[in-house]
Amino acid sequence: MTDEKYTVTPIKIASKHQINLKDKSNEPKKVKTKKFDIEFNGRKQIIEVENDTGNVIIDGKSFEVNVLLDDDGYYIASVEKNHNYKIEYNKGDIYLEGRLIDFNFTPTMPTLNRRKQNLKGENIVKAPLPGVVTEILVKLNQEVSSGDTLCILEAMKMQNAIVAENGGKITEIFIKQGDNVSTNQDLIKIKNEG
Amino acid sequence: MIDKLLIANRGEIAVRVIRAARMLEMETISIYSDQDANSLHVRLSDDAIALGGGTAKNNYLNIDKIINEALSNNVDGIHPGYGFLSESAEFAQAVIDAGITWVGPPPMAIEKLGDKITSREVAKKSGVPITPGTDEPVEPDKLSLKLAKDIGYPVMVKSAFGGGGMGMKVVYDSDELIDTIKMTQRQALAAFGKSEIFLEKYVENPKHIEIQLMADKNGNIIHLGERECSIQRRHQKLIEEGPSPALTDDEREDIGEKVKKLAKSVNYENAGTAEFLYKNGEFYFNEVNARLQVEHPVTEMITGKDLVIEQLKVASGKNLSWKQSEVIQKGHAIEFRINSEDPLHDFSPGWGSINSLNTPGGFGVRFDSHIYKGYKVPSDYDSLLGKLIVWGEDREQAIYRAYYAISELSINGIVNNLPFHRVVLANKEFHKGNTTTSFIHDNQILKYIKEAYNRRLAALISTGLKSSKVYLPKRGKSNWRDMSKYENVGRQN
Repeated sequence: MTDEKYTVTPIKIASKHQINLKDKSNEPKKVKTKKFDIEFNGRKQIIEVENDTGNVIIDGKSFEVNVLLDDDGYYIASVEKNHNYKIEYNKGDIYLEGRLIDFNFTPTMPTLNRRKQNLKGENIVKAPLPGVVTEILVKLNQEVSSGDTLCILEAMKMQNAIVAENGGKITEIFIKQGDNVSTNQDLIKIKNEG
Repeated sequence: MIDKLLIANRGEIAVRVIRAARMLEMETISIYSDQDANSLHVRLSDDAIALGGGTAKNNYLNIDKIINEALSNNVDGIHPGYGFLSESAEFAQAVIDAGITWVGPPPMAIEKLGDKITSREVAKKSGVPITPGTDEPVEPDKLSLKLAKDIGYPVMVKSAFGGGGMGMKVVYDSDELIDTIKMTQRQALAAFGKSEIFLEKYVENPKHIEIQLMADKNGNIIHLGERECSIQRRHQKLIEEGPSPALTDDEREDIGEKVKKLAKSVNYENAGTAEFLYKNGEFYFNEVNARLQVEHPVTEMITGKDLVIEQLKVASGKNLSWKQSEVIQKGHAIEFRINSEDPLHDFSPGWGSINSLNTPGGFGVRFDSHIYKGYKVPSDYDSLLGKLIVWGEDREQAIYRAYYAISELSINGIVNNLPFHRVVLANKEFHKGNTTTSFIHDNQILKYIKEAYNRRLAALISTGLKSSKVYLPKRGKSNWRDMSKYENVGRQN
């Protein structure tokens, strides 16, 4: 550990980290884990923590983390032995490297319940943001599977693909090319009879 | 001088112009859309005019509405900012016809420079180096093979009407040329109804270098050196700096003088920028942006000259405040565009409210922005939240200062590209000045961002579990209490 005394990793050390980054992925073994829903600076994802070791699995890679509480009440989290992050909890706020952040995590709801909620029946895909429908890639009565792109929504000068969360048959298309849509406006109805 | 200035724009640039106008004791008037009713420019200006909701066509791009409001509010000057109507010759003419001072180049100059073909001709005549290419359409025949050989491979085969990658193909070898011309002709005919094909030299992995100009109404013209804006994603600039680590003083002087000639030949006035690709000591003319640019603060920091104040002065008929010999570059400046876009997800844009904001400060640190705590970023406009600009005695100091300033900047509630800037600032190739338009791809920047992000995530969750500090979500929309039945995690109340 070379940099634990610093709040922000010095630029020279940060540079070395970029050179040392290797492609070999540290494949996690099949171990028992707990899953957590994470929200960090506006991004949401699910990550796993190994029951026995406490290692954190993200994107298929296992990170070894050692947490120390230093004399001043800060935590030093040492990731993969040579990356140290100073973390402070202060009256409900969290500071990472001296910088106020938004971080929340909760245990993930078991996946069985999740699936039940929306597998059967009709699903209406709604616009996640206001924009212009620039392309519709599906036709009425077409079968789609989860992950298929349904239409393209242009917002903030960017093309956003709207994908099906669940598979099924397209039973209604509420929009046409060139339409302006607002947030939560109905776009496409998908029916799953299975 | 202008007494009452209308700023026909929004966001950080509207704020920037208001700040300059105040320095000259001008009264300022903003315009705003319904979506921008709580935007900072509305509050900072002396008066603000609501132009209604809907798309920009109804408000920021509505020439009639803006001119009418300007006239009924006794406005005697209009600054267009960048984007929106800033490069509309029609708008410039309408402003002038209404008897209002236009803070920008004459409509005729905007028109000549806005057209790809005429601007190339103008550049060629002024001795500005243009990208070698054919002036006449080519056919799949022996002549095109000879022309391609003269230009030098790789050669770009492109349709006159294509753009943004459409109807363009790069050829590396004479064997592929004839077939590619045939194919591109067919595609162009199908897509644009016209099959004219041109050949142009393809400059691989170039730097993007641009020259800042300023001219008054009395024929005086100066250049203020260059900015390098090579770090881009999808042709959008993300980091800009000056001076370029690649240029020598002689190269700067030479290209600067040529660009001045170009501007003079179209009777240019006010601020403008000539953009080039640059590789191995050669410049290739791209276009002239006949307006103020997003990255103008880089030049301000290294020359110590306020370009927006100068724009307002020369538009009012004053002579340029500086001679060419008085423009001296000092130190190094870098600008970082802070966007609400996620580098971890293909730079897709985000929106929402800023729920906390802490900005860095100190010597040589400047933050030009329109955001504030509680500001709701509308999804109707581009994703620029602000610009962090740092100055250092030399490039190394500027990089160090920027790295630590970015580490202090905290924007919560909305995704942003700060992790991108942190990773670039720690990159050794960036330190060496090895920057080209393919920098992000060539240096695996996105992989490093992901890795650094995941390490921080691992640190946070491990610390959270270890310290038994699992935080309840701030408001009750999550069903945390129900979920906690499934897992038992220590929690401190």
